[in-house]
Amino acid sequence: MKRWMAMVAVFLMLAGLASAAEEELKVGDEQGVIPLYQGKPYLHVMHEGRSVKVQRVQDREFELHGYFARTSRECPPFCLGPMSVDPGVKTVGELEIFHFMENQMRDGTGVLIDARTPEWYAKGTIPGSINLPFTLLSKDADDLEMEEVLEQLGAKPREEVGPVTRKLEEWGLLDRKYVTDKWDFSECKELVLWCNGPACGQSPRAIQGLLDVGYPAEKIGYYRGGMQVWQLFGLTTIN
Amino acid sequence: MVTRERFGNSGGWSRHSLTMGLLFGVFVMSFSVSAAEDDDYLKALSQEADKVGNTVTTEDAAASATAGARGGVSRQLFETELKEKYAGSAVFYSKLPSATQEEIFLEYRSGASIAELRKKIMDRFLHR
Repeated sequence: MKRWMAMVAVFLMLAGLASAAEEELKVGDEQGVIPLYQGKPYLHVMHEGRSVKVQRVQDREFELHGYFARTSRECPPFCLGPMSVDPGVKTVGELEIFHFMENQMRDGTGVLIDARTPEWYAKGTIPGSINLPFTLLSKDADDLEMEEVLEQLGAKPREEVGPVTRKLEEWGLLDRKYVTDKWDFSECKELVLWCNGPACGQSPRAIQGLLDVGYPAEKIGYYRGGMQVWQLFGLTTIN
Repeated sequence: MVTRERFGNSGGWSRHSLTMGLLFGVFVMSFSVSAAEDDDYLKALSQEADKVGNTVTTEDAAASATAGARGGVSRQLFETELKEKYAGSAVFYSKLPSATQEEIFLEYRSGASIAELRKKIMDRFLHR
């Protein structure tokens, strides 16, 4: 009889332990946050003068709906583009964007650019982005609007260069890495440009425009995933 | 002789003008083709932007303090999901006063099941 009692007690104890473990697991699961990446639950970024929390949608059952859930668009013009816009321009992913938000953007040395036309920007953007449409960034270096943009991005108009300096630059005795005849890009900001995703040509055009006026390729990043991939991962967007 | 030269010169000039004209034409054509392509692209972009009726926006600002199981989901997102999956409930939801809609959305954010919410929408609509 005693043996039976002991067996029942052990059984009950084991059942209790299993139940407690299940509960613990359930509680832990409910409390668990889906982070931006391991060890980083969220971050804050300034957007139009206010702090916005960037995180992932916490609903594990959440499914993407609407325009950016569509797989296909008319091609041309909305054809899949290459991974790289230019050999000198680095293509970046979400983690690099998070890092960029927390470092370069925070200390004022980096700008995240939504290169889409204003009507797209108005329908939602990645927090912290400023809208510089590709139509603007494709203008000539002599264009007044382009000049304003370049100055906003830290480029400085170059004063008239004397013949001696010019010759020295031509001979490679003076560093011309970050200067053109018209602009000095040595203190320009790091940029990351993005648009609607891999089938969007707006940011590649904007990047090409910047390269054409002499913006250093190594200071430009291309977020190819754009709005489509950003939303696919349930990352915060803002109107 | 003079006449021949004149004719020769005249022929040379006309060939020259023709070539120049052609070059100019090609230049203008290429420019206008490029401009037309740009216009077409902008037009296509604009048409495409019109299709983005319900952009999924998941802004989380001050509301993060009250965030529950669906902390990052905006009201717009909730309403889009409701329309797409439960059209009937979405119609009744749209008839509710905004304060009640807000109440239902907050319950959704705090993790209430969709079945509970649909019942609540009907209860509120029928003043039960």
